[in-house]
Amino acid sequence: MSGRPSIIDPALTRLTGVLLKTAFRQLFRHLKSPSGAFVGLLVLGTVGMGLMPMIVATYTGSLDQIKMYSTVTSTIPLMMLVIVAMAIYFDIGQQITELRPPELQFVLAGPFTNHQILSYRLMTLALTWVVSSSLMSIFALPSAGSYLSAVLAIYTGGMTVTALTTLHAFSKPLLASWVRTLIASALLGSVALLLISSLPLGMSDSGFSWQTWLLSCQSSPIGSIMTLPFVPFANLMQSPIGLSMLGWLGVCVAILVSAFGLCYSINVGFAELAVEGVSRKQVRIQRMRSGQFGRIRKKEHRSAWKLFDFPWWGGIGPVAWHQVTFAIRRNGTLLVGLWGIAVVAGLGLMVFQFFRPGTIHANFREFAMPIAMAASTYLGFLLTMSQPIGLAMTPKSLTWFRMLPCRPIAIVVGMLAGHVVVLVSIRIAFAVIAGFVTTRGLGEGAGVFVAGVSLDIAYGSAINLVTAATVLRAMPTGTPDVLQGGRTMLYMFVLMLALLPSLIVAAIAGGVAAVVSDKDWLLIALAAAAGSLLCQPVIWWITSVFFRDRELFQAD
Amino acid sequence: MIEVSQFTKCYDDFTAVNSISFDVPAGRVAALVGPNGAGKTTTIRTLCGILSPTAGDLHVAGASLNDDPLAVKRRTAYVPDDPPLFDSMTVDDHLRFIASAYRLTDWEPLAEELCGQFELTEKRETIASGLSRGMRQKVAIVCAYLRQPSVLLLDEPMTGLDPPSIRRFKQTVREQADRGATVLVSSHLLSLVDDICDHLVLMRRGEVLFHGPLEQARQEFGGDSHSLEEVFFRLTSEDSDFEDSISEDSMSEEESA
Repeated sequence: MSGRPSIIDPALTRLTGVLLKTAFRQLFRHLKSPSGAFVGLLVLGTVGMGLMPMIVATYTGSLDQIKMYSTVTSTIPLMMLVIVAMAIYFDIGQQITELRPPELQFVLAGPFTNHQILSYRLMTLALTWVVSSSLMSIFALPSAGSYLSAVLAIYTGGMTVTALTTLHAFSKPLLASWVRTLIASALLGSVALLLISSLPLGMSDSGFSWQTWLLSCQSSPIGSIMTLPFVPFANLMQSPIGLSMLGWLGVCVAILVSAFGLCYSINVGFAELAVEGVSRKQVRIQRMRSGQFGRIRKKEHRSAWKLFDFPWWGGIGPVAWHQVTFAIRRNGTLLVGLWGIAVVAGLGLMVFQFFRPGTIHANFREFAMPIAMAASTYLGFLLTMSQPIGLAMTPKSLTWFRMLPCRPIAIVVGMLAGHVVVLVSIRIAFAVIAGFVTTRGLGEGAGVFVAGVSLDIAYGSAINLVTAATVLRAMPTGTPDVLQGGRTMLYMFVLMLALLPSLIVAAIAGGVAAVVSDKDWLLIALAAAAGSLLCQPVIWWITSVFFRDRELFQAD
Repeated sequence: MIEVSQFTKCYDDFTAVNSISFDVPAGRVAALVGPNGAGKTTTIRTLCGILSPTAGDLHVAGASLNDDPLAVKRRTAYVPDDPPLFDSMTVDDHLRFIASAYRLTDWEPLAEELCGQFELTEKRETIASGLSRGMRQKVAIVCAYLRQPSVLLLDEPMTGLDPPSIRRFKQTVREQADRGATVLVSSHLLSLVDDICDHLVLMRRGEVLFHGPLEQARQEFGGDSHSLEEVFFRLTSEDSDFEDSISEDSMSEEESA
């Protein structure tokens, strides 16, 4: 039999079905066990709690008058343009070529054409997008014509973004590297120029309004042209069920099909790109498991920088030295960059405030330090949660510390240093920005900063406690399965529980100080910090018992 | 020296090591050999204090693991089969950490010498993630030697090493024993055992089948060839005759003791 092969191979379609079935079977098998059922309930509860307020708000109409919400949904074309420009610049599209390692053997090496492998990959993506768009549509409900319109708009919009980024990735064998870079840079540069040049449009007598800025940017002559391809998706979302929805759906599907058609027409080297992608994915998985999220370093890297020695302190010193060195080597560039940005941003805000005194809201200036501390807490926790710092290291790495000739409590205390140094560095960066704009005194600002540092210590202790007492990790090792996300959520939940005693004692101490001092900021902050720190020795002791007694390895 | 008496290690309801006893005198290089799943790694990890024994007495370099685990850790160095270096730290960071954690004084000249021996001098400021498998193994070995431990526990220490490094490693193991250290090497490479070891501890399914001088093992179980390979296969085969004869030998040894 001869002739042009179909772009979809039945064997690959069957493989997609089998993989889907296996994933569901595995999910149900996990759900049958008590721990699996607990994780499942936790996931359902968390997702439900996240979505329920939006559903209630939609039916009660409580979001109708909120300008910020309507602005976000009205600027969908602009947001899609920004996403596409950034995704192309960072070459996100190459992820479509990143098949899983077993697929290298069974799919890439199989008797399939480039088009068939691409179709197989797109089928998997298309199935994933059904779930994602169904969930994301709930957040669009208040401004959508109907739930169905929202699902269709987000689905076709998301797949179009995928198609455009894939198109850029597939241009790799066809275009010179510098041409691809030029295209990506020109696109992102023009979008950035559009956004920056529209900034004056957001200014008014009452100060700067980012809602006005975004809407004006989108409706400006150049903005209208640049966002034109994405307008049908916004119109589809806002159409109620009916002929108008069908019409816009037709336009969106036409755009989507055209984009994917172009992908197929230039798909000449998928297999070669995929081989490269598989190895890249393996390296990335390995790096993610070790908590590194930056770019992959291809060359040998050297460093002559050395941290000064710490005193012995019953064994705490060497462990703390190790952790600080380790944390700085991993995050040093990021932290120094953050400090640089902080100084520039702080100075910028100060100059801005000098020339346009009313632009920064008075409330923001008054609460600048607490806001900065809250923001740094969020960023710091996000950054450190998955890093193998402290007792969150892999069991193999922990053997170094298990063998040290010092007491477990000393190791546990020393192991805090890595988390604390990263978190405090981030906190300093945010405090610098707040320091430039705050209207409060230095003492009050310092008090809030100290409270933040005590929270960092409590957080580091909580991570060590959870990772010493359980096998849970933010980034688990082993073969990924369908419950991986659930386990990460469980880890975060248990981490929150471990942090709770410190938070409760801090809240009580802060509350007492508020009553006694008639709401003196400085005293409240210092009392909360002291309360939190008082709990820590108990947590360290419990952690040290777990660290001493828990088996790092099972039988080989 | 290493003295293990009635040592048992269980993981939940699985017994990895079942009431084993053996000893290795100071200044000896002992081979810990056996088929996969024999309990070699569990034994080594317990001896260096990473795992806790379920039962039994383990004395390492004169200190009891049950009574004074910190003293055991001070005197023992362990090189695992896949050395877990800290990817973001340089080779020099690893050495400095070992020096400070084990309170070594005047360690730099020895570190310099060891790095020279293992061709790591040029790599001292290299981040560990950029090292090859063999280089990582060398760093782990140098970290262990730097402490000049009384007991050296090596688990498959030659994985990833190139032929010159293997030769150098063999020489240094002998040097460690000559200065009085007890060396216990777990390996599947019988040729390595033949080259550097003078003592044998042979395990199978969590039990010690033989322990004593290597020469004795050759004489008793080596057949006509007196080869270590023959010793290994005769003792670890499923043939019950050998097990019976070993049990009888062990009992008579215990009775005479």
